[in-house]
Amino acid sequence: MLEQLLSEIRSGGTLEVNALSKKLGVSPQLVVVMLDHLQQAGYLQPYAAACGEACGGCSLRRECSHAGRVDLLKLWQG
Amino acid sequence: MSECHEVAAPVVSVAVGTPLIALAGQPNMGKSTLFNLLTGLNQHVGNWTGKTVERRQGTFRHNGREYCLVDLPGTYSLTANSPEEVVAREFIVRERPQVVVAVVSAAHLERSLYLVAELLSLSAPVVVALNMMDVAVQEGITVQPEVLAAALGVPVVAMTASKAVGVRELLDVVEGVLQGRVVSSPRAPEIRADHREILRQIETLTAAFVPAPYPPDWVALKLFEGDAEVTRMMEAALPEEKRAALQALLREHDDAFLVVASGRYEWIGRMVRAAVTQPKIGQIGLTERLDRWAAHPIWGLFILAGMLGLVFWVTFTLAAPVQDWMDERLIAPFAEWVGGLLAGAPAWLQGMVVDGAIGGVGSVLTFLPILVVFFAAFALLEDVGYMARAAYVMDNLMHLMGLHGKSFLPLFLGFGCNVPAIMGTRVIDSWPARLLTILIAPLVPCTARMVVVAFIAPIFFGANALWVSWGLVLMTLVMLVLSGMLLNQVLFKGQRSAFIMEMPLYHIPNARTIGLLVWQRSMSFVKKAGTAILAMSLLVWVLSYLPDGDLNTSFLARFGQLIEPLGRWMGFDWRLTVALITSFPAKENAIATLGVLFGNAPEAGLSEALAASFSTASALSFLVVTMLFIPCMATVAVIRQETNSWRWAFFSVALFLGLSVAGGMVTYHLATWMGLG
Repeated sequence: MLEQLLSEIRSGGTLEVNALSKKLGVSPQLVVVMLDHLQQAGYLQPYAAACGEACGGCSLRRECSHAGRVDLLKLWQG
Repeated sequence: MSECHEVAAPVVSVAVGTPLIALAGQPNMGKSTLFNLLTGLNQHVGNWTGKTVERRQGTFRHNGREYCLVDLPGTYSLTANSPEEVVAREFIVRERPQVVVAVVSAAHLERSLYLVAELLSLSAPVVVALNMMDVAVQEGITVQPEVLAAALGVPVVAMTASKAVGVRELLDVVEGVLQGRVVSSPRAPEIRADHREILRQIETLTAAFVPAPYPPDWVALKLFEGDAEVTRMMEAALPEEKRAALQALLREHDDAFLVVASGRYEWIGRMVRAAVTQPKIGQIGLTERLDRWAAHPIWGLFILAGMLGLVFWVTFTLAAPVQDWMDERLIAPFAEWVGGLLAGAPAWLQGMVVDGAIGGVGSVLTFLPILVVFFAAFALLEDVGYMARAAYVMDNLMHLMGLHGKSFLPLFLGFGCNVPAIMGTRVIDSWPARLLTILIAPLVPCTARMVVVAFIAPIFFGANALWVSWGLVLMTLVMLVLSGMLLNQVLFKGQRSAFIMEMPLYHIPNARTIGLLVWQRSMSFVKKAGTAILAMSLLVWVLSYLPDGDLNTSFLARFGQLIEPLGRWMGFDWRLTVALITSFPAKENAIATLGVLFGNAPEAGLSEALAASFSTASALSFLVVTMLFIPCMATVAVIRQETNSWRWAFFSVALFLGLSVAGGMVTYHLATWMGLG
C-alpha cells in the first residue's frame, strides 16, 4: 500500500488526494494518514512557503493567504 | 495495600489484586476525557520514572469492584519514535495490564486504528472504545460497532465520553473480559506473504536471546521494521555471530518499514471498508460532480480562464462606474474646495496640496472600488474552495508542458505578490535552477500590476477592457510557461517531484470571512496610499514645480525629456515615461504620477485627461510595459537578499527593462500598423 503510494508520488506531477484514494482503493482520509506517516518517516518532505517576514513591506501581503493557501499545497519528494 | 503500579513514584494506594487497566489512544481522541470521567478526584499526576512524560493514574469502582486505571501517553504508534511511545509500550510489555482499552475516534477511524494494529501485534488484551460517536454522526459517517468488532476480533463499545454515553457498557465489557465471559480472538495485521519467511528467520535467530518479558514474535517484527530501541536491545543481547547474521538479514531488506506499515494500512483499509459507511450525498457528492469539470485537465483550464475573465468583467462592470464617479464627483470637487480654502496661500503650497497630494493620492484612492471588487471576487473564489482547483489545473498544465513542480509552486505564490514567490524558491535544492526561477518569478502578474491594468484598460478600451486585461494576463503567463519550459530543459532534466493537494469541499461562502479579507486588504492599500504613495506623489510634484513653477520647464520635465527618446520607441511622451519610472517603488505610483501630472487638466477627471492625451496604441504599449517592467523595489530587494548578490539584482532589473522595452516597442508598432495609432 505505502509502496504503491510512493511509486505514484515518484512518478511525479500533480496528485490529488481523492484521485489517489480511488487508485489505491482506500478512503481519502487514509491517504492523508499515510502521507503524514511517510512524511514523519522521512520519505517525503512538506512544502512550506516562505511568506511571512519577507512580505513586511508589501501592502498586498495578505493576498498570499489566497494565492499561497499553503495549508492546501504540499510538495513532496520521494 | 499495595501501589497501583510499580514503576511509578508516589501513587494512589489500592488493595492487592486490584485489576490494572491501561488507557491507550492517540492524542485528541478523548482519552483524557474518559480518564477524568472514570477516576474523578481519585487520580494522581506525576512523571514516568526517568522521563519527562506525564504519568496519570487513578482508581474507579464498577459493580462494587475497584480498578486501577493508568492513562498511557497519547501516541500514534508503538514504534520508538518518541519517549511517549516507548513509555506506552514498555508499560504494556512490562506491567501486563489485564485489559488495554484502546480509545479510537469513530470520526477518524483511519487515523486511530494504526495504534490498535500495533496493540494487537503485541498480544495485549484489547477492548476498543469507539469514542466520538456524536462527531461521526454530525459528519454523516456511520460506523457499525458490531461489524468492527467482528473484523477486529476484539470487543468494540460505541461511546461518547464527552457526554458520558456508553461508559457503563464499556466497563461491563472490561469486567466481562476480566471474568472470562467476553472472549477475544484478535485478527492482527499480517505482513505480505513474500516477507513472512524473512520474518520467521529473524525470529528463529533471535528468539532464544530475547530478554523477558518481551514477546519474541513482537521483537522479531520490531527488528524487521527497524525500531531503534529494540534493535539496540537485541544488539546487546545477541552473541557476536548471531548479531552479524541479523544485521546481514536486515540489510537485505531495507524496505521492511514500508512492508510492515503497508500491512497495517491494508488491514486498516479492510476494517474501514467493513465497518464505515460514508454517504456520498450533499457536500461530498456535489464536490465530486463539480470537480469532474473544475479539476479536469482540459475543461478545468477553460473554467479557470473563464473565472479570470469573469473577475475582470465584474470588476469593470461594478467598479469602473463608481471609480469614474469618485474621480469626477469626489476627488475633483474636493481638490477644488481645498484650492478655494488655500486661495490666499502661496502658489507652491496650493500646487503641492491640490496637484501633488490630492492629485496623486486621490487618483490612487479612486482605485479603491476596483480593489474592493477585485479582492471580493478573489476572496469569494477562495472561500468557496475554487482556488485549490485553480492551482491544481495550472500545475497540471505546467507539468504537462514539462515545467518542474518545484519551480511552479513558488511561482504560484507570485500571483499575490512576487516577494514570497522569490522567498519560496528556497525549496529548490540546485542553485542554478533556483536562480533561474528567481529570475523568471517577476513575470507572474502580481495583484498590484493587475490593479494598474484594471485602472487603465477601461479608460482606453471601454467595453473591450475585459479582453485587453485578459489578454495581458495570458500574455505574461505564456511568457512564464515558455521560460519555465526552457528552464526545465536546461536545468531540471531527469529530476522529478510531485505535488500533492488536498482539495477542500466546496461550500457556501461566508460573508463575514470575505468581508474581513476585503477589509484587511483594502485597509493595507489605503495605508500604503497614505504613506509610500503620498511621499512619491509629493516628490513628483516638487520635481514638477521646481525651479520656476512651470511643469514644462521643471526638473521632472528636463529629466523626462532626457529619457523621452527611449519612451518614444514605445509610443510614450515624457510624462508616461516618468510615470513608468516612478512605479519602481510601488506599481500603483504609475497612476499617482499620472494623477499629479494631469491633475491640473481643467474640468475633467484623470480618465478623460488620459484618454484625450494618448492614442490607443500608446495605451496598449503602456499596459504591456507595465506588466513586464522592472520588478518593484521590494522584489528587487528580496532578489538581492536571496541571491546574496547585487549583481543578480541588477541583472534582473536590466533583464526586465530590456524585456519591457522590447515588448512595448513591438506592441506599439504592431498596434500602429493595425491602425490603432
